[in-house]
Amino acid sequence: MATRTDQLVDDYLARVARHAAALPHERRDELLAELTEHIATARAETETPDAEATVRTILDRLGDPAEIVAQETVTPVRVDAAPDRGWYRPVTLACLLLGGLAVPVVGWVAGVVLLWGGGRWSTRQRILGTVCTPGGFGTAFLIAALWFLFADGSDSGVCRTGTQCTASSGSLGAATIALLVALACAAASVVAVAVLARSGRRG
Amino acid sequence: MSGMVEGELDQTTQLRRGLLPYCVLALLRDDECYGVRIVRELSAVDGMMTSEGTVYPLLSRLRRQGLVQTRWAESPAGPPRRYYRITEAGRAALDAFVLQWRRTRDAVDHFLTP
Repeated sequence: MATRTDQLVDDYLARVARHAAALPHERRDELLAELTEHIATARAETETPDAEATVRTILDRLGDPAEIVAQETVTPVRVDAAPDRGWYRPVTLACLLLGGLAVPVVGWVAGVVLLWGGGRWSTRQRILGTVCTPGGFGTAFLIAALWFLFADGSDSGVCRTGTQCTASSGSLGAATIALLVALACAAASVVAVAVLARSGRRG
Repeated sequence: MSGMVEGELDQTTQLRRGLLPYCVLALLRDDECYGVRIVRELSAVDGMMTSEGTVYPLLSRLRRQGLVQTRWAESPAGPPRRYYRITEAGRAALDAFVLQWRRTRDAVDHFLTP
């Protein structure tokens, strides 16, 4: 038996296995199987399958184990396998804008996750979408609701005593600010979502 | 980790690595093929292949993306082989790439040709 050449092959595969320790074990096993098959097939197709020179050549051509394993985890140049899923962008924008209304905070967060996970936007657009839609309409709605409660409570509370309603005008001022903030939030969200909707299309 | 290895490669190698998946898909256009033969066809063309083993991660990725499918078959000489065959999605991706490639190639040639 050609034990020397088998040793060469075993050593090579062992090196691959070592470098591949960080891969998911299924893929590691699969890669080792593929390289084993490659070596065996390549040997079988030569006239001297057991010659040391034959095996050394095959292993040299296979290349450095570290380089092979490195290819497993490199971020690939994206092969456009399928067109953009039609629902992805509308759902993302809906969550950003209205998600906070349906499920407070979490609904909007879902929109942010979708925003960063796909939809073909640039990083800059994604930052815009995250920063300018704080909670979307959910936040605006919350602020407006607080304004409603705030303005109601202080109004009836202070003016009933009959003194000058200075305090209530003060709280009305704060409430107005809150309302303006709510409107600003809503407006910023709408503008940001509009920008996202129009851009990032396949050019 | 892999980022460091990629950084050490020269630009030409990186370029070819990006184009290699499409060359593989094109090889499979007309018929299925097994690993060693895919490697051999790629190596036969000057400069497309440095490390033959790197084809296997590439093939694995194409499989994960649904662009190729595989089957095992007994071979006349040696152990069972894995055959790779292009899928419809693979054909679509290849067709889309061919258009892009021609546009890009023509555009670059426009500037490079004196």
